[in-house]
Amino acid sequence: MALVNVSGLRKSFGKTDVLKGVDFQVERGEVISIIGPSGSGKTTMLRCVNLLERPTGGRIEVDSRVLCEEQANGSMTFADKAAIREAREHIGMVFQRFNLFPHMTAVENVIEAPIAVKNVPKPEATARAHELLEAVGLGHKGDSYPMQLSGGQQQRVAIARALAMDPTLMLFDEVTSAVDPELAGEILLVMKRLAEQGMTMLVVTHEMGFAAEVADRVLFIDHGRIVEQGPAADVLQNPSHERTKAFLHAVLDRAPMEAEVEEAAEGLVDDLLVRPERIGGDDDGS
Amino acid sequence: MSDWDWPVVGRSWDLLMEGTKLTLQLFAVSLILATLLGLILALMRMSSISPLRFISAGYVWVFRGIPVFVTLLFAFFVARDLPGLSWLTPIQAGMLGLGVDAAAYKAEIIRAGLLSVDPGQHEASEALGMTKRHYMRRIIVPQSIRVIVPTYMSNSILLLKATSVAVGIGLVELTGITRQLSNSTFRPVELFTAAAVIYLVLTTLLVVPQEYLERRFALKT
Ligand SMILES: Nc1ncnc2c1ncn2[C@@H]1O[C@H](COP(=O)(O)OP(=O)(O)OP(=O)(O)O)[C@@H](O)[C@H]1O
Ligand SMILES: [Mg+2]
Repeated sequence: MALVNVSGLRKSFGKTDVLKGVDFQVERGEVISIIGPSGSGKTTMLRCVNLLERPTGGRIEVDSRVLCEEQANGSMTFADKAAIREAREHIGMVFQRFNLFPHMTAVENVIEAPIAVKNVPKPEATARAHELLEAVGLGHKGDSYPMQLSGGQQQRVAIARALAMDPTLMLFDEVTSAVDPELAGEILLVMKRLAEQGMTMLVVTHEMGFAAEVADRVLFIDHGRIVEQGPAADVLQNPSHERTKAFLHAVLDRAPMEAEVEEAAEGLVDDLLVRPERIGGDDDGS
Repeated sequence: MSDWDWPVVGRSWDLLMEGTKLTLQLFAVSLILATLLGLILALMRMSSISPLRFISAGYVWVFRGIPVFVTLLFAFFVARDLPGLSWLTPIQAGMLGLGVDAAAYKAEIIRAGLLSVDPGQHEASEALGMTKRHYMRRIIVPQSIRVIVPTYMSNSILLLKATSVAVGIGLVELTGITRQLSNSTFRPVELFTAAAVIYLVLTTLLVVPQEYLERRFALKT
């Protein structure tokens, strides 16, 4: 069965209907890019998947756990607090603005949740944090505080922090848009690695190059509805809807990013190869 | 000029120090009370349970709106008549009144500090599956301290000075002893100058913990 099952998802803020009935499924190991114009509801949709946003309609199921369900009379039932926390342990999220804990070092950021939530002994959590930081190319930055790191480095720490919980699903919300463009490549490269390791990923992005190269499927969302979805190559190269065409036309005028990734890869790939098989806790790194 | 008698300060020194000691006791206990109560009130105000928010807001409204002296008189005359509180000594009643009054301000200061923490910090913690109890303690409160310390400390200076209203319920703290001494020696200028200097030294000393805390909770850049 699909890892993520979303059906009839609706969300309104007051009178504003932001999501107007969204259906999609994510299979295990699948990488899905969510694209669409600003304000179309991409962030809201992603945040519903771990219930950071409480849907006003529809049903969400992740890894056989029903997080919320609309009843026949239209009212919503939500999983209880403990069940939601339990589900979130398995859903990693990476934010646009990193949201690292600024009073903690990189290692402390990474070990906090495994120790607090999963009762991992501190020495074990710390060893794993060092492995993860090494895997994202920051093995030497474990004792740095977030404000001592570049945006690209902070975001990679944030990815390591999410991976430390051994999630089965990772959510990314425009994780490169708050960093300098020349630092986006190092983040995208880490995400590409993660995808290659078999991580299931939902990626809201404006990076069409990433969508084209890494995503198995692309969802195009506009005005709170999925307008078009399908294999990345189809949606990006042969969009069937006018709105998709117009959107792609507008964004593809910007410089493609493959070159950036390749460039960043030159500098990073050595670091990453130290323990590529550790990303996502998945041992088959081929 | 020449008829000033500064040695009277030296002769009164032991008594002035007795008064200072009581001033510091009133200050320390009411500060601890105000801080604990203020923290509880601030957390209540931010709770998702609306009666708790209502009680907290009401508390702040009442005690910020009443002069501290009136609160002190309530603590002295009324609280001690309450069934469970008859054991209160006058000094303890003073500590209670001062603490209860200051808690309203501490609550607002702590609340503002907690609210100043980026909502993204709550979201990141939630997304990692942490309990609210855990992330308030480990993530939110430590970050809010940096914002809280400066206003908290200037409010504490106000509290230290406000201990002098305890004269009004007959406590012989620094202001009280100084008044008694000046009545008996007819040397108000010398003695109140001495008291003013002692207050100034005490309030200046509060800068030491402030600087320590500001350094301790500064973000490393
Ligand atoms: N907490 C909120 N309260 C009210 N309206 C909101 C809230 N969050 C989002 N919205 C509205 O919902 C709509 C969709 O927002 P959302 O952030 O999901 O869009 P998006 O597709 O992620 O856009 P962007 O590409 O700019 O990030 C917007 O019109 C936004 O103003
Ligand atoms: Mg968004």
